[in-house]
Amino acid sequence: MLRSYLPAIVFLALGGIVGGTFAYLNTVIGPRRRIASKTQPYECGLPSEVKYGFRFGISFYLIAMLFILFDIETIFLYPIAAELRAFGAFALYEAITFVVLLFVAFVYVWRRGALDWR
Amino acid sequence: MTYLIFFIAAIGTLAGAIGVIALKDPFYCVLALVVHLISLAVLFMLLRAEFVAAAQVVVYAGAVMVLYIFVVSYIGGQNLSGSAGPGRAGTLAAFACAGALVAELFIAVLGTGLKAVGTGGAHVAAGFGNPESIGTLFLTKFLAPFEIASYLLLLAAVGAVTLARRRGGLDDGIEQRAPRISVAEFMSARPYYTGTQHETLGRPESLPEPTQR
Repeated sequence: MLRSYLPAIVFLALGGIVGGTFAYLNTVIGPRRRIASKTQPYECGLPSEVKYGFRFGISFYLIAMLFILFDIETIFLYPIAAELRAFGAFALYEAITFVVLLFVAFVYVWRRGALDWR
Repeated sequence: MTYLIFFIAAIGTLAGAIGVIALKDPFYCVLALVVHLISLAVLFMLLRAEFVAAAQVVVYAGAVMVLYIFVVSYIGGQNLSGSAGPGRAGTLAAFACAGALVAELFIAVLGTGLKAVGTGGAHVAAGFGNPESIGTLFLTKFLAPFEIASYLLLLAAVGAVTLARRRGGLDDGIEQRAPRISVAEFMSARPYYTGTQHETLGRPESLPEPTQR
């Protein structure tokens, strides 16, 4: 059964080998000049003022929550789409009912301003 | 090869699960949980449950973990270390719950799970658990739960918005303030010269007055 996954496995293995090789070569033959700014996580641009204990706003939480909801909707729709030919119009009506209810959720979220970034 | 991948995934699953409870930094805990969930998806793939594996990666390792990261970021990484412990009653309750869970798992494993060792496992038809069979089940046996699931998602959206407003994320709502545009206004045609370059540049004199539609 693994034969069908062979391209994916080869892809993953090649990605790991190439990435790992370059990271290893970098540690072996790369120059090591330790200056203070190089040890910081963000190197380019202005000095970062974000500290470790920095708290994200609630907007991030809300967007992630809504992303999950519509992500799950996509997951639910995929099996219906796979059986659309077998069930015909019935599957289409069911899918439309499903999507209309989530469209109500989408309109609610939108009208409440949850999609406005602040 | 199958065994090799199984053991790699099994080690990843266990190491990720241990990392979630053993690591101090909550960000690393979430990353360990990502490792755990992706390893679990690999185990699903080995069981030929490709759709479940894809759903596992897309929903859990993708969306839910993003939510966890944001929740950890919202709470703040350093605030947890200074807080007081759960107390004596809390510790006892935690041990009682863990003990009950261990007992339940032992009953399940000793009662049914061990009988399957040495056999070929349950007999499932070819194509069991693929998207087509799940779709057939959605449209026949589990039609009502499938439609109720969309109600559940609708409620979850309302709940998320309500919770975020309570936390001050959305400072205004329909109760406090009239909506900016009504649905009818939104659906109707926009006024002349709005949403175009003329709106920003100012309408030149040479343009004709809009005729009545």
